[in-house]
Amino acid sequence: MQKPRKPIRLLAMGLPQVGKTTFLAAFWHLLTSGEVRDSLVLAEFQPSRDHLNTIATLWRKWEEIPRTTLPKERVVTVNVSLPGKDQVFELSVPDASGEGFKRIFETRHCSREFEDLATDSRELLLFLHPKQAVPPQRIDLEVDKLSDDLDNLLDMIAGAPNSATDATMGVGVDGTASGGHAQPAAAEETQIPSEILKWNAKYSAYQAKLVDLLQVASRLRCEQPARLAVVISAWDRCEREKLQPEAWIKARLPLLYQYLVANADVCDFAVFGVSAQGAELKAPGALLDNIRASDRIKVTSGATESKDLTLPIKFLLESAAKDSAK
Amino acid sequence: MQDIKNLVCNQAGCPLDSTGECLEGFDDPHRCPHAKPRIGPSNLSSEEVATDGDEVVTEAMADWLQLPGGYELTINEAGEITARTEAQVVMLAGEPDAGKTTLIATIYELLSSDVIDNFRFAGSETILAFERACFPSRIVSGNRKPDTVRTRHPRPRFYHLCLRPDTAIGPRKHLLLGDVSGETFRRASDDLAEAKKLHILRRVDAFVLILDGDKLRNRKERQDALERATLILRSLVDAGVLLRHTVIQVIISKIDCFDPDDKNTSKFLLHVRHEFATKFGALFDRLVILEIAARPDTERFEFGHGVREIMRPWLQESDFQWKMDYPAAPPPGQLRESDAFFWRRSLHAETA
Repeated sequence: MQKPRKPIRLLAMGLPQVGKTTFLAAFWHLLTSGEVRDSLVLAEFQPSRDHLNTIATLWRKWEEIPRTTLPKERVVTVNVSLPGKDQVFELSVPDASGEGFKRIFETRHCSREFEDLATDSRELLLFLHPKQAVPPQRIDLEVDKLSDDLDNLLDMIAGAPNSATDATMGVGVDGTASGGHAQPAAAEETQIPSEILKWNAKYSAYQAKLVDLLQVASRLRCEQPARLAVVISAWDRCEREKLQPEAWIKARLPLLYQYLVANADVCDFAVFGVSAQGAELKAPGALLDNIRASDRIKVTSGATESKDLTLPIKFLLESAAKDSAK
Repeated sequence: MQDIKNLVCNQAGCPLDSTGECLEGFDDPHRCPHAKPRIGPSNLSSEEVATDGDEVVTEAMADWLQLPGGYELTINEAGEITARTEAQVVMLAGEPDAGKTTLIATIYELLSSDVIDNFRFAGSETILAFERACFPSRIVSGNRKPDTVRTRHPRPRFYHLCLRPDTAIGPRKHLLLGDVSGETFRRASDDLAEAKKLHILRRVDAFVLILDGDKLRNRKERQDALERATLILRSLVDAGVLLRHTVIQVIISKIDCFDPDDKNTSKFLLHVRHEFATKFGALFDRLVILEIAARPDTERFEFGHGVREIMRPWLQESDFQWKMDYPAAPPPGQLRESDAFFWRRSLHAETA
């Protein structure tokens, strides 16, 4: 008997260098290797697999996966099933360039392909990277911070314990800096420009760019209900903050978090912390001793940790499976 | 609206570049046949594209779909929101440099870090306008002191916020925050005809008149600052554009610059309150006087001091509801066709 099939067009979004292609490489490895129990199952091979095999090889060999640039964007299709289920999802996943999403925000134009995909898609993936998740830094706060740093420096000179570490970290157990202002441990500090700059959309806060991408997608699908998996890449960078992924977004990107929660009735969401690479490529350390390639993967959802990198997509497909069953 | 900095007009004498105003009178200069895009769909310079590591793809972008601009809304665009939602319209008014745009930027900065008065950010059609308003007070601008770019356009522009209660998934609340240049209000206080041009005020739910605290503390300037502000209110009442049901919020800005030990200044502030209460208290159903320090320069006040109090009536259902008896639009001839759009009623409200 022919298995029931359902095409799913996944809209995977994210600004440049947020790990979309690395995620795709590890995802393909997991499907082909079947190394993780209860993960999504590769139902059958699709005819064209060269791109996925190439990036998965680079991933397994700890080699850098080239960034996807606009002219090299492509859509890959994989046929997957939920564990223990017959239904085959023909999942088309764009290996999209972050550059394209950057242009959407900055130029207020989108490609016809994106328009088409966003109009159709009800399953959304949003990638973000902790390194880029710098909250907007107000000048008045920076003046306060400089004053605090000076105090800390004076304390340090006077031999006061821990002051230097505290000044560097600036983060409490709950993930907020003293004074209630989020100060990301994993993020890069905003560079202070040497000259006064003229406004350009590219200077917008990271969280505003992500909110806008979600708004654009929502508008294109005429605000139809959808499901969204938010993937925080390089989650290993955030672990010392001891926050669960959703709480991390609330602390680091409050505007995005409010937007997600306020619209949860039309766009159900879940947040996943994903470390697809496991460590810096140049310093894999003990991870090189792993027997299985998937052992380096770490996925955090709520308080649960696993090796199942297919979890974000499973979250999206579960609702699609329910819709099919109706 | 799309960003007008991407437009250039070749007509001699067109002030588009300096004030953002179109010589031909188009509210959205993009509609003017004389205005041309400065460059193509991509406003990234080739240098920027190169540093981003991508090939130049301008040709490939030629047929890309244009999306909503993300900048301030024209009256026409704001009318699309009032037509489909129960939007509340708030107009910020005051003399030049009183702090209107700073107040708008502060509202957004507060939301960027937390909920406001139990309301969550649920979206905005002008997210780039908010970001631009905040830019000069952020590190990334290169400024050493927080700053605000002055509003220059004489026609109302609107910032949009969609908010939702954080206790439950309740109805969305749409706020349209109107921003007009201080010069426009100054002209309105000088000339009845100019005041009548601000007929859009008949549609606003709250009128926020901001008095520049920096001027109120200056012994030489304070009487004139007070008088100028009362003149604005009086002119708009006389012109029949500010109506009784409109909530009037008189805001004394920059209170962080007052010396708390200066008894004479405290006495003058009492006088300010008394003046507004006696002159205008009976003309409106509700008139309140508040003090803010939107971007204080001293540790005595927290960032956005008093801003939540201003927003409270805009957000609380009991105080500030969609009205079933908004005044009719001014008669044809007094109104641009595009502005009439603003009076379109929400279908939801019509059937409620």
